[in-house]
Amino acid sequence: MTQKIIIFFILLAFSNIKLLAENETLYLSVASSLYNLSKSLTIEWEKKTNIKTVVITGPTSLIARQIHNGQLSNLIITANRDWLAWMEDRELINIESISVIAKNSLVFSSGINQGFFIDINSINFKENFKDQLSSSMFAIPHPSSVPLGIYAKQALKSLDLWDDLNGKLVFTSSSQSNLKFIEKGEAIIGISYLSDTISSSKVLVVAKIDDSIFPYEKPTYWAAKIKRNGNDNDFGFLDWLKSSEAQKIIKNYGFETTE
Amino acid sequence: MTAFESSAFFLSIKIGMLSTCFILIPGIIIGWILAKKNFFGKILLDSFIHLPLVIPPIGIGYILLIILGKNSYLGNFLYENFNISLSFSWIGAALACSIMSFPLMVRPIRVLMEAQDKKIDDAARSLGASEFRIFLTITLPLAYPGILAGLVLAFARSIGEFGATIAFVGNIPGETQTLPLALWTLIETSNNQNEIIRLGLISIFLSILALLIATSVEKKFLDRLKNDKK
Repeated sequence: MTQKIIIFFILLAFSNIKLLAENETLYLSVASSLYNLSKSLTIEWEKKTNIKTVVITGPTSLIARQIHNGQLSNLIITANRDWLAWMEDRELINIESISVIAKNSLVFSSGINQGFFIDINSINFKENFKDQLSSSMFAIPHPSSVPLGIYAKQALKSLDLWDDLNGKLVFTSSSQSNLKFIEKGEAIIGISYLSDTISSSKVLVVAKIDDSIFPYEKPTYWAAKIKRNGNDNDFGFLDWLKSSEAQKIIKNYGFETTE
Repeated sequence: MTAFESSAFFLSIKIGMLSTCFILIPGIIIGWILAKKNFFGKILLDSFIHLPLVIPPIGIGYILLIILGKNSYLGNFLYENFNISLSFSWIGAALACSIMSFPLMVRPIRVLMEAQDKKIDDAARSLGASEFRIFLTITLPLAYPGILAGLVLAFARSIGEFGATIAFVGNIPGETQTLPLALWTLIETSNNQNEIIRLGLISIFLSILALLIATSVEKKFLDRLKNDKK
């Protein structure tokens, strides 16, 4: 009996081998915060072109190093311009192809039952904010490595809150883990991408942070074609991303489009 | 199961089995050397074997990427001459898992071989048996429970391996995205808690299934041992 089970297991596992036809598959490496959007985009694109797509996700730093070591992506979409420059230096991407495909904005977000209310434009904003935060924690991703953390730090400095929050900040590992801290109420409030709060039913947008009043670098997503042996081939996906059809999907996910 | 779940599920089994196959024979040999031989630098070899237990898995994965990636001498050599690319393929994932689980394979084998009565070996030797014959007919059969324990531990470790895999072969659905990587992807990208719990339950199901099979094999084997003694 045991032998039969083991043989069954072996057959089952190896029946699943799919031979990768590298030429007919588009490999897309994306930042974690773009994963759900990318899934929707590729489903739509697959319907149109019949070219199979595989979406690879992870921190941009890791993906960039992997591409440097031969990972097979055709296109990268990232929020991190520094790592794109790192790839440029190593001639891993086609510089002419680098294009902005979407933008995002920052919001103060809080769990649905936290009852945190602020008016970011009022004169008493700062006192009001500090009163409500009292001894609770404020969540942002790590301000030195995660893009959202970097933008959040700039925004908090513009709002003149950065120094006051000293000792009350929780540094999380990514925009999504940050959102989960806020959803679960482990941090009473935090900064998120507008697009992330739209896809979650457990957080509220407490206030939008307008970058024209409180300046911070606008979160921007770049796409670039990856060069392999001097050639790049993305089956026309990048051009399609800029089309009105794709931009409409991007907008539905709460991103700002580039049109 | 959805396509996402089943692809990760079967990939985990496949990678777990291949990784355990990779290290079965080397594990027995190294276990035997560590148990029976005394030589200069044995402590060094011993520490080296145990390194994967101490170094963070993501560090091991990154080292593998540097050593076996296409930019490296070795990776390039394998690719140019044999068209083998280990990084970013499921075979590379199995390799990463096998390195991470190697100490767990060696340890029980070595302990059992060490505990064997040396007088039996000496008796066989006095009757003219070669070292190889002693190994094959005495040391190895007496170490079976250890080998079995090693196999189970190594397989379990492979199924749960995360850090080395994501650093070395990346998170490619259908190719290197095993259950732990799929789970991590969902935690990092999904707001749907049910989806995450479902995948967690699938992981638990796979572990229990593997352990049940291991226990039943073990029981069968021990029964046979008892019958032999009679």
